[in-house]
Amino acid sequence: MKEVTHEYGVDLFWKENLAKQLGGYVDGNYLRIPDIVHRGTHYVLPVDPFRTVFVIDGTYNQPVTFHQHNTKDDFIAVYFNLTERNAMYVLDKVSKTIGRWNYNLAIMDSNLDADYIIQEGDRTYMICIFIAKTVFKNHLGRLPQFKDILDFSFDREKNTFIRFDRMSNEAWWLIDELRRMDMTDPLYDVFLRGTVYALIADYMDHLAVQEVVNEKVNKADMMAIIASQSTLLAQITRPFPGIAALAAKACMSATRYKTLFKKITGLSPKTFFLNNKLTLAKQTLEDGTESIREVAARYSFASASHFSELFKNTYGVAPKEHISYL
Amino acid sequence: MLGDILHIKYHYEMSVGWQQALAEEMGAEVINGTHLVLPENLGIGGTFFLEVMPGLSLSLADMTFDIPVAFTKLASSAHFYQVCYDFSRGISNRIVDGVDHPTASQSKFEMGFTDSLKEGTIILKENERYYSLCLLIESQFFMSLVGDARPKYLIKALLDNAKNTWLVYNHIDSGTRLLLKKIKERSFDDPSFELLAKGTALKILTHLVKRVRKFDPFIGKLSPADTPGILKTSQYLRDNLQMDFPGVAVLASMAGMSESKYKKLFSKMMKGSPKSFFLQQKLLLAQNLLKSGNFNSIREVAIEVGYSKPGYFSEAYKKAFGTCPKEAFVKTGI
Repeated sequence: MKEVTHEYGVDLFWKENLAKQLGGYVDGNYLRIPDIVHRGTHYVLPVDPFRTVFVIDGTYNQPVTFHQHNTKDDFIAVYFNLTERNAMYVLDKVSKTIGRWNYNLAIMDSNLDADYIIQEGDRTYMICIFIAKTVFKNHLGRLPQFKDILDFSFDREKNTFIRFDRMSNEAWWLIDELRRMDMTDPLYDVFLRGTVYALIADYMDHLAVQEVVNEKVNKADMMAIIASQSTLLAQITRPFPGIAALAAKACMSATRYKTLFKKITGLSPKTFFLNNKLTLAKQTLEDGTESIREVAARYSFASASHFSELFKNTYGVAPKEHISYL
Repeated sequence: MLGDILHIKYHYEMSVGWQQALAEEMGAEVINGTHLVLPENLGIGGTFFLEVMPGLSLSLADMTFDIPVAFTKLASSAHFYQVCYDFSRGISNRIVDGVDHPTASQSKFEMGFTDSLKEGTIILKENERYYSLCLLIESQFFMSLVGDARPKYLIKALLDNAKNTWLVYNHIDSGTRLLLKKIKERSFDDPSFELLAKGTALKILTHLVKRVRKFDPFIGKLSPADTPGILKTSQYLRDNLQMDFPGVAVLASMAGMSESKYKKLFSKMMKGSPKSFFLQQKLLLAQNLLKSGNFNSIREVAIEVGYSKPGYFSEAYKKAFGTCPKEAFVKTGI
């Protein structure tokens, strides 16, 4: 087990230490880490004077425990984490499992020490955004529900700002688009900056409509809904299985299932399913290997014209027009 | 040319200050240093401006005026490129160097490059929502992103107003269209708007650079003497959408060139043959008429745009948009 003690910050003073602890060195914006520890990329980019982004993409070839101990307490770290398998945060001896449909979004005050445990063979894609606290407070202060509690939330004597959440479906696709950009292109930095702003904007939109879910939903219900999302994604090319079947599988009544699903994901099961289906279909279309008709058939749309209509409702343009302007 | 309509002059800069001068000229107010709100006596909406990063700024306008207004952009003090996406629904006219360039006429999306040192005027009609997004890009920054994919002189020619830069109007890629649609749905006052705007600007810049890297290097081959002819005929077609296609021979002679040269140049500039351009514009007009609520039947719309048989019209419409006219049709008097 490799043990790494490190810190983060909006300024980049921390990258040499982190690279060294992982057995590597700093090369411009890259942290070059030897393959025996991690195969892939570590990339740091200052977005603007108040925000820095750190992208980790690759596979850990040995188990690593990260002990994060920040010497600066002037920033907030936002982690969008697409690690597969069961990486864990350990805080006050309570572990939180993360992964695509578990808690894959963590927002933590920098004054908090946290351990992060990675298993050998874990495939990681993580976007860490470090935001100056003053700026983050300013963002949240624009949301009505934070107006009154803002000072309390950031008073280090009384409270530590920490949230575990699930990233929105929209955020997942924003990151997916970034993953498909060529990192060696000078445009990557432009796109990465754009993605960082879009992700923070999306998170604010998400917070603005979010009911305070975690207190009201028990863990078993949450896990059932998360499992149900995975089920839906596993059969994304098939027709919508219907609420009755999904509810039965989650061992709930149809009404309860629908209500919980909406509460936890912000979307109805059907909308969630259709959004993901359409996004995948759009990607397949953009690949250019299949016709509109074939794509419609692959994703089990009733007909090519039904697909076109749904596509147009969602994206504002017909698929035909969309591909002709790529 | 402008008559006695309200005429506002302004000039863009990369940094935020310029909006204040525009606000004073219009009697408007600037909120949070980013958002200019139109005074009630002029209309509703406003403009939004921010510096996204060194070398890139974003300007948005979402305005509906109660009276027609002409805006003249004066030359800026520094050199940068201005790339504008105009996705209003209405019709506005853009005048560059005294030449009338229609923008956002029947189609929903248009784009164009302008150089910050050039002057230009745009006339906005009353009671029509005007929505545009402009990126202001420092020229060296832009060139460094484009890289060596195309010879520098071609890229410069593409972005140079003096050399047919309006050529790229009506050519926006799908990725950008989706981003534009999304931002248009949001209010400047949304809590997350500033962040969304920054993200959108950077992503649109990414698409734009990718586009420019792949751009056909035809600009250098067009002589400035030929382009007004093509423009004139495309305008003629747009002004006469009710009639039958006049034929390439008539258009070529109007443009003062041979038929084969005319066809070739027209296709390069307008991304389609004269006939398909005409048809596309005709159907876009038809789509607007269908939605306008001013007609009793689809048949009336078909006749209005020069189809004697509604069946042919529906077929052509379906081919162009993938949907039937019926879906867009709003019946009169509801």
